[in-house]
Amino acid sequence: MSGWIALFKRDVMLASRLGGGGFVGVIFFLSLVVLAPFALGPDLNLLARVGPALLWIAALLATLIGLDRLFQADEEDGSLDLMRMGDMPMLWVVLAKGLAHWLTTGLPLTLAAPVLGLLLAIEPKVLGVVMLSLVIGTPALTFIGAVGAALTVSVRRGGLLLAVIVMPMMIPVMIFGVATASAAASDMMDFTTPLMVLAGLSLGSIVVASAVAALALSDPS
Amino acid sequence: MLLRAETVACIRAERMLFSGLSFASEPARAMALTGPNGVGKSSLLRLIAGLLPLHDGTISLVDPTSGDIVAGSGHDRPLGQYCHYLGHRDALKPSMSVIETLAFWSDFLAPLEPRLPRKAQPDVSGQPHRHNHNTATPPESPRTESLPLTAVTAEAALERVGLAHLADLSCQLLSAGQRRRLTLARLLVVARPLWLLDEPTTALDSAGQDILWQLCTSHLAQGGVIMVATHAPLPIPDTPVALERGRS
Repeated sequence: MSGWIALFKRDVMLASRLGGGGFVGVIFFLSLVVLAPFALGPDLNLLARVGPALLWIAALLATLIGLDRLFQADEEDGSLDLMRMGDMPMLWVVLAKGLAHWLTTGLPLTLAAPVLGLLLAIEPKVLGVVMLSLVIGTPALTFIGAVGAALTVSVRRGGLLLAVIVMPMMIPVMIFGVATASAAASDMMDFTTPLMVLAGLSLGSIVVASAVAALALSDPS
Repeated sequence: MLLRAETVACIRAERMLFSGLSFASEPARAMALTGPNGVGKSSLLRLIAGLLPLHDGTISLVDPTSGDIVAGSGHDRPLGQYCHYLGHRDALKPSMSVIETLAFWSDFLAPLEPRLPRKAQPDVSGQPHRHNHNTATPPESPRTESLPLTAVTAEAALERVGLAHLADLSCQLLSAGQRRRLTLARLLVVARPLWLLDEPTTALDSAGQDILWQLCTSHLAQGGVIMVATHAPLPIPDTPVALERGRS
């Protein structure tokens, strides 16, 4: 267990230091969302309607940034070899690295969402639900992305390939994430239903995607 | 500890690098792995570390007093957990300091602990099995008595390799030789019986090489096993393991 905590702490530390790539995602998220009102025009009703979807697309893209380095950085400098040889099952390594990635990418995105929601004229009530859907849904994005990161671990400049591999798998998360926000906005239906499905997707992908990523990484070749 | 390999074959990219390779370590002698470039020295080390699939043969770590297999082929514990592998890539992060790096690896590569004895895997290779206990009496904890190796603290390890004054420096500022010294310190913070060193003298100055061979000598004296891939003769007693091209 102490090894797991050490790895988790190391990854958070690496991400938060210069060149680590953590928190760059938040700035990217910010710039994407700030661009939207300029592109769509100052129609507040339109912005409020597409706002939650924009936040979700921006969150997805921001998560993809830096995801290609999740395992690749450790593969290139040989750290991953030492991790493969160690006692700790690869599944725990993936979980530690995935959680650290979420903590430095997904969580800051969620915390930044209310500020950006104001730029998109999203109602406070809807904004709360969007935030909730992001905090529940972004772990799914990270861990589904980890599968792509594990598959492209030895591919140079595999970032684009990674995006192509994992984006289709992120569609369900996207659908229910945005559905949660739309349900909250429309008052026609209860937003907890899509939120529950989103939570299920998130928990399921943490388990399944970690196992798949671990399998891809531990294969000796 | 004793490393024993029998009829090992290595296939890389559907090309047979070597096959039928057998060797065994001798007490208090390092194994000097020699051979021309590209013959598979690094591949053999990675094979032993479990980083490449073993296509044929057996590699196992044996307790010399009891003759029991401790890890590797014929045991359910992979050999990698008993190895330190010092390859060309040094696993150092530019933004971490020297002491942070060592502290992380000593936490992550937790010291080997005696595990509850489990039934050894059946030997499928047809090799003579020297693990002759019957299943009614599972093997007693295989390592405590046979592992006198001790780990040292990160600070003591840095002192040993002459980097104590640089403990708080970030790794990106280290020279190639200092990086190599830091990887040597990693050998000390976690005790592992088997050291796999791939051209360990690279970038080391003569004082650094002296430290390396002193560390090796004391590891061998504690009953450890060392395999060194090298092009130069070793200054410590060694058993040659020569790889030749197209060996079969």
